Amino acid sequence: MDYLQVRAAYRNGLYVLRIAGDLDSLMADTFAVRADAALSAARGPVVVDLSGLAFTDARGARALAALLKSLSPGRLADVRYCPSHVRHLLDLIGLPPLNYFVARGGSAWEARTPELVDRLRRAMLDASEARHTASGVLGLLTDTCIRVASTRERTGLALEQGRRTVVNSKAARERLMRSRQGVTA
Amino acid sequence: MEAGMALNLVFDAGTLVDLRKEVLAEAAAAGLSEGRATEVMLAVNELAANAIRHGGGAGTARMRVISGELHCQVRDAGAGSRDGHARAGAAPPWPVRRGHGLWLVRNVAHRVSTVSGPGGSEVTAVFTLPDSREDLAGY
Repeated sequence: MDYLQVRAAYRNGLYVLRIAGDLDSLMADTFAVRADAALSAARGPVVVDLSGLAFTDARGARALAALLKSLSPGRLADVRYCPSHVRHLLDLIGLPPLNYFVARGGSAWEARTPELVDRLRRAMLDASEARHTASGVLGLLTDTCIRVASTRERTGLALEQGRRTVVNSKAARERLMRSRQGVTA
Repeated sequence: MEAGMALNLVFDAGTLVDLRKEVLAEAAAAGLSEGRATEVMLAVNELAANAIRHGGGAGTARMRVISGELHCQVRDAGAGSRDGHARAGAAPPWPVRRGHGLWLVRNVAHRVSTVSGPGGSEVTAVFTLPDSREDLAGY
C-alpha cells in the first residue's frame, strides 16, 4: 500500500520538493529512491515543503534528515512548514531541527535574503513592543514602590504615636496613683 | 472483542496506517492529551513496524485500560517467518539502539515489558492515564 507522495516543481525560480502522506519505516527506503529521483531533475536551490506530511516515525525522520544532509552546501534553500509532530519526534530521538541542515551561501543565500529581511523586521517590531511593555511594567513597579514606602512611613508614624500614647497613659496612671496616696495619707 | 478491551486489531504492511489512526483515537478516548496520545501512537507504530519488518510480516495490537493505565500490547508472528513459526534459535527481533524504534518506545512509555519465545515476541508498553480508571480486567 502506497501512502507517500513525493512531488517536485519549479515555483518562483525555486525547485520545491513536496513530501506528503505518511513517511514511516516501511516507506523510508521508497522515500529515499523517490526523493533522489526528484532531486536529480533540480537545477539550483531546493526548498523542501513538509506541509502535507501527516505522519513520520523514527526511521522516516532519519531518512528525511539524511536526505537534507546529503544536499550539497548552498543547495538546500529552506525547509518549510515542518509540522509540530515532526518537530516533537526529532526532539525525542535526538535529531536537530530540520532547518539545521539549511546551508548558507551562493544562490541559496540570495534566495533567502528577502525572507531573512522580513523575519528581521518582524523580530525588531516584536522587540520594540516587548520593550514598550517592559517599560510599562517598570512604571507600575516604581509606582508600587513609592506607595509601599509611603505606607511604611505612615505606619512608622502611627507606631510612634502609639508609643507616645502608651507613655502618656503610664505617666497619667502614676500621677493618679500618687494623688490617691496623697489623699489617703 | 473482550470486555474492557479498547482495541484488538490484526495488522500488516497494508493496514499499518489504519492501525495508527485507531490507536490515536483510542489513546485520546482514554483521556490522554493530544501530545501524549500522539506519543502512544508513535510507540505502537514502532512496535508494529518492527513486527512487520522483523517478526513475520504481521501481528496483533491490543489496547486496554487497567487500573488507571493504558496497556498497549503488540504481538508478532515470529522472527524470519511468514507462516507464524519462528526459526529455532532466532535472535530477538527488536534490537535497541538510541534514537531508534524500541529505544523511542522506552522513552515515551512509563514502562515496557518484552516476552520472546518460539511463537514470536510480545511487547507491552504502559502509559499512565491522567485520571484513575476502574480496573476492567486483567490479561
